[in-house]
Amino acid sequence: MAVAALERIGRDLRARVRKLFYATGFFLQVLRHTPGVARQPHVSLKGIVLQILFTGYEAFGIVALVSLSIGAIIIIQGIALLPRFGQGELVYSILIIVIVRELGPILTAFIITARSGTAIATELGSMVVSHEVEAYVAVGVNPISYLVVPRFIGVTVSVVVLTIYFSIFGLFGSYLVTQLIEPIPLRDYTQNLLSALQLVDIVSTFFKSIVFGIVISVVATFEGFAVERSSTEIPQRVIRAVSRGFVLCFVANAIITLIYYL
Amino acid sequence: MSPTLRLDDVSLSRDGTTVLSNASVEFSAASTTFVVGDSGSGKSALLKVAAGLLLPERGSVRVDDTDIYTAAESKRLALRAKIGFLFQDSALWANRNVLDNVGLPLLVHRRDLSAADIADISRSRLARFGLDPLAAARPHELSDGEQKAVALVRALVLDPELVLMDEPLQSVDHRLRSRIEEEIGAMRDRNCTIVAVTHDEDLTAVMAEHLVVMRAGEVLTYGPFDEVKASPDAEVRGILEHVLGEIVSYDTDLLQILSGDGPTGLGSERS
Repeated sequence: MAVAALERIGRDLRARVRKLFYATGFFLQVLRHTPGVARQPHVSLKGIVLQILFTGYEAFGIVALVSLSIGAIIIIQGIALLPRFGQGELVYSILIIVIVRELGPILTAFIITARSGTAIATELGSMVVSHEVEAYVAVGVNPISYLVVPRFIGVTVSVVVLTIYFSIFGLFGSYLVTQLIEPIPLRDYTQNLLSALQLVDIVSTFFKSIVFGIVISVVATFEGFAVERSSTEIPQRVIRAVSRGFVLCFVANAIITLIYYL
Repeated sequence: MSPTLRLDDVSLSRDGTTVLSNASVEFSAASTTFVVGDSGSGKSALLKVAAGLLLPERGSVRVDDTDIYTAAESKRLALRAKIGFLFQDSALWANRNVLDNVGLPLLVHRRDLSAADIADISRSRLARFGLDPLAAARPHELSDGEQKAVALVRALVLDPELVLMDEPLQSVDHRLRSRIEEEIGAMRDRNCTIVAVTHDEDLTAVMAEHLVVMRAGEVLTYGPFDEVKASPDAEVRGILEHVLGEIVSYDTDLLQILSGDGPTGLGSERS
């Protein structure tokens, strides 16, 4: 009984380690093919631009809405609570920390995972089932360089741009609410924010957004390619793309934040 | 010179089920070989493994002296230009129109051609099947038969020396069938090495020079058509009768009629 249980644990562990190696190999292949993508005659700049359009441009609306509301909530809570403790001037530092450094990158990553991670995993999974991926291999097109790399670049660039956009709109949302509660000139508001903003905040945010973009695109393409034969596998893989994308972004976020405070 | 394709002790399993078991077979240069067997016997898997699309767990696949799975990337790419593969379900790329589907192999392998040249060649190849009016259509706008024909045009656009086809006549109407049969005849005339999986009795009777008989992932036998057809092995005969119907009992005269001016109108002789 105990031996059987141990055997099962051992088998599961071995399978997980094998999958981890496979996923690592997949990621290394993506990195390997990324620099040479411009030399591929069948991979056009247009493909990468289209990916940025789908992932980045089309998400502007929802990112603006989420960031405006988050910015508004933070300033309302800050203005209501901080003066009670005589720390009213900390509101700008809190805005920078919460919106720019923490919530901006992670919420943008969640939005992109939900929108584009699912779309990428579904599209690639469907292509596997209809043998389109095999057809690319048959004519000498490497699926990594043709199908993964443009999505990898497009999603990563989009997450970086949308994170900046999230931060700007979040801070703008705060300003709008400030005008309703405690009007302050835009110039003073901006100066206060800039004096609270440090270079390390920008570096941390930029680094996080790059890491999240890589995580989302690699997980989504990996799960899309993991579909084998049946269309019923596609929703299962899409769910994994979302859940694993979220988990890995959370873990990466925690590690980067930890490094920031070390 | 057309290549020889050789599979040695190829084994493949999926989800614990054996798909191919120690399959060994040689497709000699400039020969036309048909792979037959019951549904689920591993014919399509054999074809994909042979084309370098499905990595076997064991065994090797060689095109002439090159192992298709272990060769250097540049050599594999060069090999791809020599191999045409027709998928059973066509596998056209949904995000490309018909012209671009046919043009992509040229774009990958013929870097000397301009975009206009590629479009011209693709259009002329489509015209041979009467498909040029569909050049701007997306695959989902085509019938299954038209998709099959476009997929064949795509597979042959680089004039490959080795052509692997999975059910080339499935879902096609009489007109496209005749045209595809003519194209297979033309490939034979060009001394291509042809390997086809089919359940089509007439096509097998007229075109096959060699037969590979499969059962449950195993290659039961392979060799010249007449030798395999005359096999004393009850299992082989049973499969041939089941898969090819009355062909095994056709007499020589009828085969000669089919080879000449028979009902399929192929007009080519089976050697």
